[in-house]
Amino acid sequence: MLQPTATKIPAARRIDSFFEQVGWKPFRFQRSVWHAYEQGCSGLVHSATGTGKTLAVWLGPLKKWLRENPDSSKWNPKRPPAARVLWVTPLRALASDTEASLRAPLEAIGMPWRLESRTGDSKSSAKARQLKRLPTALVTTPESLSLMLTHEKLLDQLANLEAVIVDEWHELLGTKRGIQTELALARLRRLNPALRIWGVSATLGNLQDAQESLVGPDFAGPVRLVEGYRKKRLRIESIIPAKIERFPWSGHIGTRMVPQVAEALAEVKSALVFANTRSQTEIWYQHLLKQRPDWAGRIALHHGSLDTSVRRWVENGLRSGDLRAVVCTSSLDLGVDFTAVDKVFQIGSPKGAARLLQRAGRSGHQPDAASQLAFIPTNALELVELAAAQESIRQGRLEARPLLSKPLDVLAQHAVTIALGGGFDPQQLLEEVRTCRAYQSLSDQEWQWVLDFIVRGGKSLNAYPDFHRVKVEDGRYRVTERRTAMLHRMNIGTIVSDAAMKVKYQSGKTLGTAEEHYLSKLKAGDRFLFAGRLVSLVRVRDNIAYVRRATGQPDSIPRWAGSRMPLSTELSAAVRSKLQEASQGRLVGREMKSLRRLFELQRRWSLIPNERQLLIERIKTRDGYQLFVFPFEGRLVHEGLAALLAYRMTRKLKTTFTMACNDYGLVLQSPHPVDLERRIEEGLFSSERLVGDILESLNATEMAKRQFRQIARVAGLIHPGYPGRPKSLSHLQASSNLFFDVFREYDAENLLLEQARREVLDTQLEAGRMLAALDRLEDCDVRIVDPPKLTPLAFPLLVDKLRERVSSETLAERIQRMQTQLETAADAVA
Amino acid sequence: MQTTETEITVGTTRLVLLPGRGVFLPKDRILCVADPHFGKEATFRRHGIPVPTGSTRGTLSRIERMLQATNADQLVILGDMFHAPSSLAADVRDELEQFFTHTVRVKCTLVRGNHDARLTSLPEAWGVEITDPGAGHRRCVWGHEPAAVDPDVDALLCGHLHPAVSYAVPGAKPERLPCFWLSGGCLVLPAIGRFTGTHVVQPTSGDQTWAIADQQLIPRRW
Repeated sequence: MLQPTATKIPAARRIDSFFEQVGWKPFRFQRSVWHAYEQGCSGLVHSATGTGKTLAVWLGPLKKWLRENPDSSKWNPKRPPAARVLWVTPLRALASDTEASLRAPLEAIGMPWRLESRTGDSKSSAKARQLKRLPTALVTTPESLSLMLTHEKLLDQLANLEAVIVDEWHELLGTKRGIQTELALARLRRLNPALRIWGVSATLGNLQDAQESLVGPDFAGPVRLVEGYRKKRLRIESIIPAKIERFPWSGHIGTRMVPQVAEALAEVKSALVFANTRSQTEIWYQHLLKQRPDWAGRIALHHGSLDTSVRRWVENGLRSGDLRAVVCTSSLDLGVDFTAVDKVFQIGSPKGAARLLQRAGRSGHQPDAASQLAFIPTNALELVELAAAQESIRQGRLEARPLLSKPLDVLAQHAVTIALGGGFDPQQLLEEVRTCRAYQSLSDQEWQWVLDFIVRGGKSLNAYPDFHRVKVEDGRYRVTERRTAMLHRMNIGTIVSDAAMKVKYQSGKTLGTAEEHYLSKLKAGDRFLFAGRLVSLVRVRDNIAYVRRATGQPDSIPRWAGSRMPLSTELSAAVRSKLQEASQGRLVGREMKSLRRLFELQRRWSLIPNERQLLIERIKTRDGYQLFVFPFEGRLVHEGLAALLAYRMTRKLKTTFTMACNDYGLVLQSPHPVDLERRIEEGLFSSERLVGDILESLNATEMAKRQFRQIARVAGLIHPGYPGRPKSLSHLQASSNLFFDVFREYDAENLLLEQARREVLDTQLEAGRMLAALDRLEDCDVRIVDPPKLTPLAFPLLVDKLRERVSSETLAERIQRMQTQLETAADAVA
Repeated sequence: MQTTETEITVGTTRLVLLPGRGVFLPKDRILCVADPHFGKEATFRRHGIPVPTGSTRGTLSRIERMLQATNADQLVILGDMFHAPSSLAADVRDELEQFFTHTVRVKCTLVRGNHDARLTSLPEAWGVEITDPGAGHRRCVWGHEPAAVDPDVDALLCGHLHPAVSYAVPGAKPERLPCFWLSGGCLVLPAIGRFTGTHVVQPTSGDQTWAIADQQLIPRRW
């Protein structure tokens, strides 16, 4: 404890005594971050697991202030220092926990700082007070930070900030929210060129990119890259079913493993059970409860759609160790450390080595405890992925986070934000924006288009009469209309959230939110699993779905749109090398050995491709002619490849292909047989004319249209329904599809359409990755096999439901054929 | 079985369904369309949401083509002619002015819909007669919102729903197509407006739908 008599104590001593109080010792890397901060550096702190990174970046500003204000008799908590530090956290759900962990040292030292949060969850009275005077340190989210920039009167205070700290930067990097953050940081740097910017990140394959995105590529000041504590032991094991042939090859959920998982859970004190989707968490939670009814109240559910109060309760239970297990999604990937957690369970493949490492790191937080992870495959082949991931971790080949390049929707949003927050001079703002890594290469024409878009609606002079969001007055761009300001502020927070609807009991208790799209498909009386309970829909009114408790079986389970992660490039390569071993009859490790029978079957009916082979299986089923292609390049590449192959074949043959993809391969189904050998000779897999062919096949598959959904929202075209939205806006509702069609027809030059195409190429199809894959496939030995039955590799693809279509038939021809099929099917039943 | 247009008889009234999204009453030479939502794009623009001009013209072209093909004497708009008060912007007004000048020989009737509820009058030169739902011709009544059909009449022609049906076979992504929907004597027309969405309806047993795919009508009995 500090001695009450001594009021003048050196800053370092105060920090040290804080560490003594909590019984830790500062790590070397922490001291070096404090030192760098003191010298005015910016930087990025990274480590694989979360030990001590927060204190490393947080205590820098504290120490500096303590050095400047050594005499504690002059500290007055009623007069806290002006705003100094902004702490940006990627999830607003984390804000309160972050606030608590930042508060600990402030209180221990007795500093008179005021620390508050400002997120979408904050009370409006608190927000209004903050507009007058910001606290000394503020915890906020990228969206709330952008929102702050719309308030001109905050600019003076923001200009006096000493530091901005971005937590979990790896979560934001490569996303539109990350770009939003980059733009806001550029703004803050302009307001205060001496601003220190620090980031905290998990270890990535491209840390240099991460650092440049954070501080800007041409940052004038000194920048440090600091590696955190890394001597963490890691133990990964798989829970392998006793009989692998009875394994659901694509049951998706793998709930047959529930008894084993329950058994394993019984052996630990507290565990996190990660599932890859929210619906999986709901299902697993139900099954675990059914398996162990005595655990009611001791296990819980956590995902992003649950009500904040529910999530808080769960997080507190984890912290205190009261909960035995929490079934969760990536919602618990981030932030707060739950020291009680001694083991992590991962259901289904984590799809990347870095993610596996990160999740494992959520357990074993005591200084010398090991991180423990148990892996539960949801289909047999995922065992290959785990074997591959372990190999990658051993060799230190972690994934790079691909960056986005100059998305114009985010830029347009930001420009309106600045126009609202005091206005801008276009040349000055362009220079500022170009200091962002993402907009380094922004051309004058692109910038002009963005300006036209927000001022006139588009490039064309006559296409948008009476439109204005931003007005130009004496060369300054400003928002003048109140309703524009209101719509824009409401829109800023919607980059991530899809149109969401509150789910409430009739008595008024909120359960959480689900997608409007899903809820609109339900009829009154339909039962569904939500927040770990079975409820039935009573009615939907004013964007709220009212439900009541129900009994029996669910009719459906909410599907949340969250994108499924594709197998990373690095892991795909590692999987291919594992299969190469298997093709040579070498099964290394428990996971691979357990698949012996599956591999034997695959070999007997078809073959196990080595790294130099491309396997194609051909088989006719009741639904049509199936072509299974196995490049093992990850789902996104396969989606593009499927569209491309289908497109190239439909040019020669009038037919319709239905497609499905997973991380290992793709299936093309057609009602007509395909002369595959000839198509391959004609260059089916050629990388020539690739981009042209992809773009043309895109029109057919409408991928761009889907991608446009998000763009339309970010650019402020659609204003999705969400709780609290005024009803008076209902006449401004139109779907993004409608916008897409109208733009394509009446303003085809609209750069947002171009952006949709580019995003599909870069992020959805990963065109770069696809080119590399095609280059590899061109050199591969194509092996066409006609297996007697669906092989272990093929089966999961056939039951996958996400399907796209490429067709050279007309819409009417296609519908007619569907109809005939439906009728035949109906006849067969009768 | 597909046709470019389909003649149906409801009670004793003969109706021709057109893939251009209108219904033609051959006996009285009346063309009915529903839900043009003229000027919806202008309303969006007024609120700072950039939607290009063109969709009002596009909607009018659809109507013009059908008027020409059927040589109708009267055009009945089954409600929601305009999207909102702010939809009557200068450019929209110009387009409509032109349209009504060209089709001066066609009598024009608007059945008030929920979006036109506060509409009091239109420029006199347009010659549009405004009526409330329930008006009609012989045994065929015009309305906006679907309703129970009076036993004295054959059919109620209406819109409002922007009906669509979804076609799917197992394993394929469903295809959503705008449609005509006949339920009892109530015939719901697809929305004719170019900048309007669709709503997938749930027909009940015995209903009929005609989905519009390109220039074809695809019938289905439920």
